Amino acid sequence: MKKIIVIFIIFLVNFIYCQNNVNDLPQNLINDAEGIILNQKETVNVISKDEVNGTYELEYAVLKNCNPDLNKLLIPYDKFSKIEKIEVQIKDKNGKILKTLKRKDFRDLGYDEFITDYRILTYTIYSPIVPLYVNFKYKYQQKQTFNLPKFRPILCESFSVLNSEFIINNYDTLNSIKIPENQWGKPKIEKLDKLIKYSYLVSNISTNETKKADLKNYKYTIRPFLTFFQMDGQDGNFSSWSSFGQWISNLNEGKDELDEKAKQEILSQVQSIDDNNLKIQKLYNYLQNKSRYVSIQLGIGGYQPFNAQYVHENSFGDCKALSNYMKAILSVIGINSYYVLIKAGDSKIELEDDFVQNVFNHAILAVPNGTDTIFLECTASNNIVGYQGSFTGNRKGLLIDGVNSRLIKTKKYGYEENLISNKYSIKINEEGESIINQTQLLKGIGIEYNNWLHFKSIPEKIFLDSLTKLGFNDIQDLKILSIQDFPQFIYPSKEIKFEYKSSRKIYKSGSRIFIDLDIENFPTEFNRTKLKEDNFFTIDPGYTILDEFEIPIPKNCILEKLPDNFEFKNDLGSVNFIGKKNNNIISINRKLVLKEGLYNHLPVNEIDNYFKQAINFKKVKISLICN
Amino acid sequence: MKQVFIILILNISIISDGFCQTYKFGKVSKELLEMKECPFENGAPAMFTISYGEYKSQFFKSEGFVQSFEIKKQIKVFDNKAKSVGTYEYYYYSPEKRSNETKIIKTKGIIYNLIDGNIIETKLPKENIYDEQLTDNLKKLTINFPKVTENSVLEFDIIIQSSIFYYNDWHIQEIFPIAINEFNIIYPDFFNLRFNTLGGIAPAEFNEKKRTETILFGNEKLDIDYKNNYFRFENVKSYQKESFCANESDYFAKIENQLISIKFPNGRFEAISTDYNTFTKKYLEYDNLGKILEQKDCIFESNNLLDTIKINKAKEIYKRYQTDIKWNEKKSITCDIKNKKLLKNGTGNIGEINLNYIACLNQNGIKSFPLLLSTRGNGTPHPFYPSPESFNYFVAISYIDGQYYFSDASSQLPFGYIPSNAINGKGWLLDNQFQQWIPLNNKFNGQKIQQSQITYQNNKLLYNIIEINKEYSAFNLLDILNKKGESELLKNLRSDKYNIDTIYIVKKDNISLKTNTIYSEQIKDETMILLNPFIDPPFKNNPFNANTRKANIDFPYLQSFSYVVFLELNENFDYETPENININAADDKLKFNYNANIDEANHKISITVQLKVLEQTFLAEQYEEIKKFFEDVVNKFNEPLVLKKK
Repeated sequence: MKKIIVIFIIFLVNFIYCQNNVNDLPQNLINDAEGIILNQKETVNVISKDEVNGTYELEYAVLKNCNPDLNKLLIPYDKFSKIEKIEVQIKDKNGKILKTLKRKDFRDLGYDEFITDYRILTYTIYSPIVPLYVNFKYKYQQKQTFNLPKFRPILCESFSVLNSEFIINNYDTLNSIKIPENQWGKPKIEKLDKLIKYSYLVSNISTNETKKADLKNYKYTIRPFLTFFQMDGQDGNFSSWSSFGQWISNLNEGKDELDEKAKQEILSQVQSIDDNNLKIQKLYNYLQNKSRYVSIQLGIGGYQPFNAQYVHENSFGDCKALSNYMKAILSVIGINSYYVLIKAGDSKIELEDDFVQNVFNHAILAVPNGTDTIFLECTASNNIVGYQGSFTGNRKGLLIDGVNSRLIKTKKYGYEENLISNKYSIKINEEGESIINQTQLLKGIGIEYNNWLHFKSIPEKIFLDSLTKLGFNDIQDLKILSIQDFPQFIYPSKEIKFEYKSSRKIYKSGSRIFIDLDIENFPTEFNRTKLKEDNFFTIDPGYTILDEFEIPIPKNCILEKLPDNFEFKNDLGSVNFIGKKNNNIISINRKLVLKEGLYNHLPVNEIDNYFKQAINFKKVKISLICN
Repeated sequence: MKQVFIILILNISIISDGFCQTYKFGKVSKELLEMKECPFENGAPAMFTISYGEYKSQFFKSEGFVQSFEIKKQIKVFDNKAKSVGTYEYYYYSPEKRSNETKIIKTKGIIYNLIDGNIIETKLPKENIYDEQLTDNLKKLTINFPKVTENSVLEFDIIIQSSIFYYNDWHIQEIFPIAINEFNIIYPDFFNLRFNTLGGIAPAEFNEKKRTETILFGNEKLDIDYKNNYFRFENVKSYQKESFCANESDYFAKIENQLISIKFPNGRFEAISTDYNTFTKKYLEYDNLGKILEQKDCIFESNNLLDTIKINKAKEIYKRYQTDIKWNEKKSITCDIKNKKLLKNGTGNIGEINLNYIACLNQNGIKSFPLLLSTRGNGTPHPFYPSPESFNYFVAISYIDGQYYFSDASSQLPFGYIPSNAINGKGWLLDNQFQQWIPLNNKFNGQKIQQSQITYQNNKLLYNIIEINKEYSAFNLLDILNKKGESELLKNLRSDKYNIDTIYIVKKDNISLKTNTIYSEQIKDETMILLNPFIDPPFKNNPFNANTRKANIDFPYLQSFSYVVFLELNENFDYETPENININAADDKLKFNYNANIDEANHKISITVQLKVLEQTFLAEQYEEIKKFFEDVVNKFNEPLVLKKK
């Protein structure tokens, strides 16, 4: 996954609260809790648009001998921030200090995954003693206001919360603070002598509630923004999407220039092509072949792309650099395109037209195409042109176009467009030995089935091994006969032809030959959706699976058992199975539809019923009797 | 990783020479750029044409002896899939506090591309080189080559110089094939270095040279002898992963460089590593290892212990350590704190917990020793030449009433067990008198017993399943239960099993877990029903799918599975059961028995299945047989009962 790394300047501490005795705490906060946040308090002082300081303090009790996550104290920092006065006290239930920590006790780690100036101070507490009390505090300063510290009242699902308090003191009173809608409501706002104070106080949250909370959802984090901000000397503002986009435009200005030699090279790629769509396709493939993804996030470079000329010469870059380069490439042939900032990945954020915020972690390119838009993922060397999958699809992004910058919606593929279609031709001899030929057509997010996009970038030998293990159940001698992309821009598809054997799925026992039709696994999404059931039951994305089997009955064998046709349908989707025998050939058609949507209204047994039927859909078995 | 922290006051000069006839560093031919396929491995997306590593020592008047390590690689890209070779990351030892002692003195790279028939060379720009302090002791050098594309050839030359002597293993094998792999090491004769070539790839050439050089040390002339060991490997195929392989690093071909000892010219001798006898003696003399065992300040005095029977006493001490001290997840096998401090801290690494625990056992009259281990994945220690880095864990071994008992006070396992990832071949008993290899394989078991009652009512099959997991089959489950609670365990057991109606824990103790699960399955009113008697078989798919095998097959522990199914039907059906089979494989160390019986009078079917893995490690040569065995097992567990309506 290619991401802009958003700077998380976090948590800071000031003073130590009185020791709370666990016995004095409300019973509902202790029941089933592995620990309790006694006091979490962060105070952010916004002095001016280039100066912020603050304190973070966290006092918690570990009640059970577990939860290493919360026992890992983390303080990220970067070249714009400075961490001071770290103090940690670890105490037993009598308030006796077991250990004190200072900055020197923390490990100072760089990021291993990419080149960056972000670092983390970290210390992990291990202790068998419960209850165990931890007081953690530090101060910080930062020289930018593009990213203000964020605050999470609930830190983990197994810890209840007695008090979590977040205060923002804005001394730059002409410069307003904005806080997006979140789970914790609106802040209390007080106009004081020289400042405006925004505060949240969250109290008494039991683990019944913390366990239901979807903590990965942005709504559980308070994320303040300063309207007029500065980053590395560059002024910008969040007054409107247009003004924020203007700031990005300014950062990008002049970055898309290419020299004459580069332009000639690009022109030579498309000199014999007239059709604009084909030109886009050709140049997208040119980008994919020429460049590779390398993540380098240094200073404001976390938000600003490399020069297109640099990318052209070096043939690498991150999402910003590659998108900006592709924009420059298209510009050479007179095709206008737009750099788009987006929040990529599973955790989507509903952006509102009237609330401007920086939540983006990725950049793509939008190319207007008549009434539609082609979105180009410039970091993926294997994407089919125009394919917009689950990583960036079906959400709003910020199209960067100077003062005309605006929110746009990316492509959504529905369950009918997300297709996994398989045609199996199974040849069996009397001994039960088989050869299976399979043609798989993948459309929409179906293209991501079995991580095809990922696999395509690894050596074929490893790919075949991975596919044998992950995609299929018990097959041998897998050969890929062909892979073909159908780049139809908005609705691209892919066709793969396989040949393999399976002495497990088709096997002889005595005079019987059994044929198991669960040759391929369900898409990984099938399991993922089920996992969400505890909190809210969402199917996203939906999809359709079509399977067709053609199985000639071997000589000297007869069909003994072909399951009856069946059909099931409810709000989630449908499952169908039709089998027949004609001219000694068994033909099977089956179809599974799982519709995207939020299904909290459905009774659990309805949901379970669908999944039970879906499993029946897969595990169908046929038997033949042979002489 | 081999290291010794010394600054030597001596000198050496080095001659290193070139590469082979086919590929030359610094000279890339048009033929190489036009090459479309690795000549000895079809389908490889890239090939190292040259991989060269060299350790050498140099004398500087101001610094004394310093060691330099040079890496030269030349890589040919065949396919766009391998463009990532353009980013090379090298991690090297450089403590932040001694940052001036290690420096990169050379980073050069060139990429060659064929453009319009011309070879175009592009130098690696300085701004594409990043050197970062990643952790307290580790730095990462990253170089990003420009213009990497299909058919590119790129090469780089890096030299890192340090007064900290540190010998990394040299990889003979990589994820891409290597045409020529050379390793050259030049070191003073007073260094006793040993080289182990692992992974079964023989060098095409090996030679050892000697030379003498006179250096001026102060006003005195000193003659220093140097050794030069040179290894050359040719056409090395890429490494391929395999399942059920306990120690992948054993099969990834490499040269282990082991510094055994240093005998300084002034007569001082420093043993770094040697044979197991000396190794043991030395370890037992270390303040932070052997000396901890001699302490007499055990916090659990005999008179405070409740039981006088030795085994019970040992268990009680073990329990107290488990309760009062938590493992901090660090695997260090040394110990800087004694018992009282350990108890006060309430936390410690493997060494701190287990060494103090062993000392305490001994103080209480229970003869116990440290057993040094290499965990699964860390490789197999050399049987004759010990290397400190090959051991990354240890447990206690106690001799009580004529029997050996294993225990690991840093774990939450019952007395007598060690973590499954520590069951890896043999462990070295660290004691001057009783030192020996103690086999660990085949000593630990995991058992699963499942009894199912299947009834048929109104086109519905009801499965009532009692399952007992014992020892290693239960430990993971018990760990979840203890750490995360019952609801989390049940959630785990339910995952992906949509047909479960109810599941609950019937009974648990510290080595077993008994659960009851009820499934139901609606079936159609058909004339013939294919009934699946095993909802949760031990292996859903054959774990051995590959056609060939290079590594030995390592099961984590001995395993036995017993399944009993009782099926109650009615007079409306005729029944057919699968054929009974009895398969033994791999010298009878794999056993499978499937026995189905029909009681026609009472309309009952019973099936008894036993699967036993009676050996932990099987040779790669037995792979075909093992693969076939598991295929038969999985097929049999998957085979339905045939019910036909009368």
